[in-house]
Amino acid sequence: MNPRLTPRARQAVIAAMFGAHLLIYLISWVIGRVSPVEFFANLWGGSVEENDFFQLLLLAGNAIIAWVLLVSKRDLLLGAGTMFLLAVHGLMGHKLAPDSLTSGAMLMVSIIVLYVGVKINTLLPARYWWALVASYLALFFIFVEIRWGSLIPGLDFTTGISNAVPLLLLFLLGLSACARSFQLLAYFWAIVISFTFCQPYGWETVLIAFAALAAVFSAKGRVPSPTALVFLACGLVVTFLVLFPVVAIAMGESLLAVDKVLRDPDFLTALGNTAWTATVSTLVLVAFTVPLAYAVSRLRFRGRTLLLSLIDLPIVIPQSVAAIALLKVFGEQQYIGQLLSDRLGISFSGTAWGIIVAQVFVALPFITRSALAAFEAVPERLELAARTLGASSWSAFRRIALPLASRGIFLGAVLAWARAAGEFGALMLIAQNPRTAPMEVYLKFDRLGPVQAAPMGAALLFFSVAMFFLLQFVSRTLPSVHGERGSGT
Amino acid sequence: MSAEAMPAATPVARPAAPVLLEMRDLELSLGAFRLGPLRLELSSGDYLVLLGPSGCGKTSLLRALAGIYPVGPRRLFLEGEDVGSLAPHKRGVGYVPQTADLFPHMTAEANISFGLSYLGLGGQERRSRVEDMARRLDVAGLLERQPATLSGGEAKRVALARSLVLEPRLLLLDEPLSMLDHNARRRMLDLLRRVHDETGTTTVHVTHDREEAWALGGRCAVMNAGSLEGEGSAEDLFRRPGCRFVAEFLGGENIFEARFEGPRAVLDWGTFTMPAAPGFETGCVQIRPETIVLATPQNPERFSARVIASSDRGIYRETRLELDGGRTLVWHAASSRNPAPPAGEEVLLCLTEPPHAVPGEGGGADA
Repeated sequence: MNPRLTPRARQAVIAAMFGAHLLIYLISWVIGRVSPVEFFANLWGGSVEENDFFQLLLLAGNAIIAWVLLVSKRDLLLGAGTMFLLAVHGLMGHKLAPDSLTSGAMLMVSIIVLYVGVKINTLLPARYWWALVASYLALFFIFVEIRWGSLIPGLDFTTGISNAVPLLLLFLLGLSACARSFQLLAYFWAIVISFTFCQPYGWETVLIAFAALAAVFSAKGRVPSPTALVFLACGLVVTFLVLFPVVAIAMGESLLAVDKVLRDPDFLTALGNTAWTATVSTLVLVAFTVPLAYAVSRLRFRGRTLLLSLIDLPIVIPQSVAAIALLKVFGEQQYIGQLLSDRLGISFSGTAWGIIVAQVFVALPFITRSALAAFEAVPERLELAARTLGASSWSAFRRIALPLASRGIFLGAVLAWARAAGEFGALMLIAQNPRTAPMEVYLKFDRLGPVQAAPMGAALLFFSVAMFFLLQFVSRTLPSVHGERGSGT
Repeated sequence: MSAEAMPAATPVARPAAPVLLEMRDLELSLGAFRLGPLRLELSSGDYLVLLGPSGCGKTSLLRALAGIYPVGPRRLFLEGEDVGSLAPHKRGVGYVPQTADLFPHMTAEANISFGLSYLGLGGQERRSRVEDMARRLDVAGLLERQPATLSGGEAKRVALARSLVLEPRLLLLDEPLSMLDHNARRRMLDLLRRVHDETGTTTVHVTHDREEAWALGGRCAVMNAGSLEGEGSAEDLFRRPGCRFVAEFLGGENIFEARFEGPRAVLDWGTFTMPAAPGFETGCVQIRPETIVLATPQNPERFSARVIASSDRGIYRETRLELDGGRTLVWHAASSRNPAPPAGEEVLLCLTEPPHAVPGEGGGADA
């Protein structure tokens, strides 16, 4: 922090620093770099050049140092630091920022950063100071590298930044403002990195990084656990992989193009087809899997483990294989398919029936697993209590287990619905018509390429995500085992 | 040990009430755990406190009585009806589990009126019964609350109301005082007593806490490892335990191996005269800590002991003593009367009441 020096030692330090300072200028003058000496020489000679504004700033800097070192009794560090910065500018300033206005501004901003650093040093724990210093150096390095790309040979950033120097100044000022808290500093770095290295996806990256940082900084456990916090940060890296394309497609499309898609009758029909087939599939699944999940959660029987694995089978099987397997049973030339077609007039190839069968197949694990977990979270004790109060086993299920599991079941149904609505692979083989929305997007892509298909993709994305979040929100109003209604608390 | 084999107990004042609950060699296997065979009868209006250490099968027994574990035919009778195979909702047995188990998605009021919906009552009648029961159990102000917002004691009272409002033939309480603080326990005890007095519901109250048996009086039974070890009034079981397990579980301290020579109990550190010969030659004696007093030199059965440590328990002072041969004796004396003897001092003591003889194997009671 502030070293406690005797007055004599203090004077010695000041003298030494002045000496070194002057020496640097002298050297830089001798080797032909810029220096105040040159400025005075020019002034004397009556030919002040345009660049001499920078020299004026250096002079002002010298005056500041002298004032700080002699008058202020506290910020020896600031004085020494400022002197260092001035010296560096004296030596390198012209190389870094050839126009003197920028160079001078850089110097001033650097002094501000230094001043902030000193204040942090006296007011906050030392780690903040180190964070500021490290940030400053890193920032400086990044922009020097961007501007000239020559500090480290072989390292070549390609960024969207062309006018690095003003941006550096802006960021340095931002850094000074943010340095008093780690949280602000992290957001600051999110901005810097997004807009330097992640172009042209700067905005998308900033959005996701801010969300991730907000999550990490707000994370609080009952017991403080740095391990869990680090894991959270690591996990968020993976979600980045998911979020990035999603945000990119959502932000990348112009509203005009999306609007045009929304007026496209083909797309609207496909959207309608998707909605009703997925809804029917989900209802079929709910009707069969919810009782199954309850039974599996309450009973122990032979083959239970096998049954649990069977439920997951649709996740394991590739969708094209699933489609062929389904066609093997329900296809036109097969016995069951023929039977259904002859007796009931139900055909599967290229009909909504086929779509629904495929959707039920692929979405089955999602709702069954959710419902199973939901029922297992309902303590059996509650149902036993209900039984002793006069409830039959059916009544205990209907009044206790089902309502308490309803949130989990509903979320499972939402997942299943989303999975059914998004199904594409199996439909490719079983029923391309009537067209569902994913099929429509694919066909458009096939005919016209990715650029033409993207607005439709954006529109579909918007629908899916909006639906998903809406349903998630609705689910919070359902009761859960913990006895809290989301809306009530 | 079954109820018949118990030593003659002083009969608790009990009118000749009809037998309500009868267990005839009730047996139950739950994995490796075996319950029974149990024989027990309860008269209408009885309040039985069933004591036993953790894991002795108390809760399993309650669940069997409630019908959660079926026990098969001719094992369990309720008002003369064989209910062993009857589903829980047809038994008319109220069961208040240890964890209260209120339905978290319903208000306290909906919890209490849950069972009433199966009785085919009108809305008005239901409401009035719920309100009446809520008033009795002191939960009238909580009816609109969600169970998650109730304290432990409140939740237990609501759970009790939920069962009692159905006017069950038999009420089963599983550790109704557990997980309550001291004051809440006392209030709950008073409440249980009052409710039993008012409704006369035959009740089985399961606990591992002997204090509850004292506080609730009535009949007690002690269970261990799936079987009944003793049954009788609280007074009988505490003062005159019939076997070593009951003596240790209820009293816990001051149990010493002894030989019996007629009415004289010979211990390895002293000899005491009892009012009558116990009828067996070897066994144990239990000396209740509060019957020990400082001896007068004239007392022939005095014994000496060295004070190890003494601690004040508020109403009484507990002193641990070392006897000849290294055994430990616990002495309870009223705090106000006796000044604490310093540690290390030899004291001469005698008993105000003869010790109680208990048959059974010796063991390291003083360990």
